[in-house]
Amino acid sequence: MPEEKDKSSLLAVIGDEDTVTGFLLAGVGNVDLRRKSNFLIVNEKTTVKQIEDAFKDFTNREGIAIVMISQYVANMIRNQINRYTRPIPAVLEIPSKEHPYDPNQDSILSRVKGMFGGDVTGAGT
Amino acid sequence: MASQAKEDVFLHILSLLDQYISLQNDMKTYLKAGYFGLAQARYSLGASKVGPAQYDMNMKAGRQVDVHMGEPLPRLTLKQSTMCPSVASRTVCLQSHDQPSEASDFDSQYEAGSSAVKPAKPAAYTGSSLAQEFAEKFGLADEAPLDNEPAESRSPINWFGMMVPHSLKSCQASFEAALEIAVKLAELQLHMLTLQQGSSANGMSDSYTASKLST
Repeated sequence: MPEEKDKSSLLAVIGDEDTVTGFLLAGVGNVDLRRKSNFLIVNEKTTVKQIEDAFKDFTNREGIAIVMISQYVANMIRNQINRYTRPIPAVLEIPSKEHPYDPNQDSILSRVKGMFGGDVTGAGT
Repeated sequence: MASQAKEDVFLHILSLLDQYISLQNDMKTYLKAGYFGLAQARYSLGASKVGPAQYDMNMKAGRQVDVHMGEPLPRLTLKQSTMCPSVASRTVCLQSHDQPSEASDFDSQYEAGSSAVKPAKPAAYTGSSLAQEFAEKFGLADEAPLDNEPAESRSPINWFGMMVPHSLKSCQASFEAALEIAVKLAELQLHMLTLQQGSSANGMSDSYTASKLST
């Protein structure tokens, strides 16, 4: 089987203003010639549909390898994330300022923990 | 022999899971530092001076990910783009990108500050050929070529002014470190899913469940 060609890809971010601003400072932000960006700032005015559309766009767009999404935002579109099964782009749930990361809510870990039949943190035996 | 191989895969996934959760804790620490720096920067500059209104809407990604899917386990490597290097990377110690992604090497790979990487001199920015055609078509060719623009001025931190407080630089460094962790986390995720799919194909998860039920 021929090796897949290596390619450089972007990271997308879906989160609150501080998270997006921070990662943009780190250099992940990109706006292409069609004015499409690789980030979405979620605030109180952002609808679930907008988040779903952004997630769908980032996971279907060519050239994005990782989608970082604050876990509290991921919880708003949990069904859509649970239905997502492709390896690339990888969907990474991250903590935010006011919502710590909970491994038991992480969709990817839930899929892996099915092998062990218990709590991801080992609390359940 | 086959059961030994399955057990090895199972233990490997457990190890990856442990590292994943450990790295998530580390990310939490760096993000917390980043949020604090951002809050301090807002206090210094003013709340409205550090936010989406200052974003450069022609921004280009300074950090990208190389995806290597052809190997037994996929690899993700964070790399500095030549289009828009970050100034803060000169002061933050970064991991080398040539390290193997073996599970046993994670602790040594992961010590932030253990090695300094001198950023490569950015190549002349020529943009994509599409961007050049766009510029010529719409009479933008008279603009100063971007390869004359110093690397520092293209850093995202300069969106917020030329003299930014130290807290904002610290925030940038924290988020850059968090970004490194994010790429490691995504790679671990891919490894776990790849191993899990392989073991599911071999019926390992079924046998594990059966053994649990019988005890």
